[in-house]
Amino acid sequence: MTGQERLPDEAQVVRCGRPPFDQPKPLHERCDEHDGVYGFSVQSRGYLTLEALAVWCKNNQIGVTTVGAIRKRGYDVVITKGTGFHATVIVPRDWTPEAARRLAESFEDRDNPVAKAERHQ
Amino acid sequence: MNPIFADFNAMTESGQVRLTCKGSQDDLRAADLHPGDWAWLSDGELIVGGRIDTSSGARVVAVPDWRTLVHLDEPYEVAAVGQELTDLLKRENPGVEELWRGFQLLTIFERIAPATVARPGYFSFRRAVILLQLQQLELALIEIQEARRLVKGHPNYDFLVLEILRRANLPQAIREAEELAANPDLDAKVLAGCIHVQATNADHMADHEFQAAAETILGLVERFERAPGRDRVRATDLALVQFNRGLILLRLGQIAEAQRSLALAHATNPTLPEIDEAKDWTSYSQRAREIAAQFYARPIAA
Repeated sequence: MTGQERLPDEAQVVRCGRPPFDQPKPLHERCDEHDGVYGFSVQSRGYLTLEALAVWCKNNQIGVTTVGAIRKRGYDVVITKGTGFHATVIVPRDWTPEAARRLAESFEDRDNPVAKAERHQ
Repeated sequence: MNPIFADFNAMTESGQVRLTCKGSQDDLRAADLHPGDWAWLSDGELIVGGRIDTSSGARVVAVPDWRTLVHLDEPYEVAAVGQELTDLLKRENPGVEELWRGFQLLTIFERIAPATVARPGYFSFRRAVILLQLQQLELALIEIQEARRLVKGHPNYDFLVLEILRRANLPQAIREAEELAANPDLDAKVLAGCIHVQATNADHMADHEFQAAAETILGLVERFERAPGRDRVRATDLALVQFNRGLILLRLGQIAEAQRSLALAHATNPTLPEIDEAKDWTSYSQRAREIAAQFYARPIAA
């Protein structure tokens, strides 16, 4: 764990790409260790707009949820090193494909609100 | 294109894509890719070329070249993409922006058009041609190798791999040319590529090494004249052979025959930039050396 500030429940969580993030690889195969925690990458901070998070996504589609919604499912989100407002949704190392699919499906599928030319590289 | 999986959410602070998740690691192993190699990276919605590297923490990452980014998931219309692509590919001397657009359209069209729309390897070959023009040599090499994997022994594909390697990695180009030339039935177009590779190498040689290389090249020129497909060789490729022969003979001091070959090259392809001046050379002068170096430094049309 990085031991940094706790993200508020109402903080938005953006994952670049179209939920349920299972093509060409399922979400449980997209997990990795980040700063000592194991999970998948997202963009999240308290009190930031969707646009401020989505600008770090080059994808046309994004998945959106909140930290609170993820916690309700028994997981957590912590800030970890990476580009933009990188954070990691912590999952078990033996996370099952079925559990991964259920969490992935809780992300809302939205168009990236940031114009293609304005997205960060 | 055979991309390896990349999760573009997992970017380092310095903009590298981490390739340490299981999905990426499985693909890296399957493709036998290592730091220093180039690859296409994709999450299924985006595709981009990148160099595989090791991060400061000794983890495998990729450094994307975002100029090669293509969005794969937009609602493209087959007919519209096909028409724009056809128009672009017909254009003579396209600008850099048009080349990038052509690259994107080829990538999109390959995904959305029926599989029967083009012969195997066509899209990879055309991408390789454009990437070579854009000086994206490593990615051009990936594409032409993919075309060759799909269709073995295609003269255009073998010619292009020689030209890409000639610019990206001359020692490897020489090995490839030697392997190809070992086939006694090698197509004339490919022999033209072998000649150009060997002549590029010979241009750097000291005089005492040059003699043996010149004999090899002139032997290939003789083979070229009798090779299968000689009657189909385009004027640009024929002029390439004639010009190389002329330069070799000039350096060997066989001036009359050199002038004949250079004049033939001029008659065959008057648009070759170096050719007009070369036909009047009477020795392998400093000027001839400079023009030869310029000739070998630029890409040739595939």
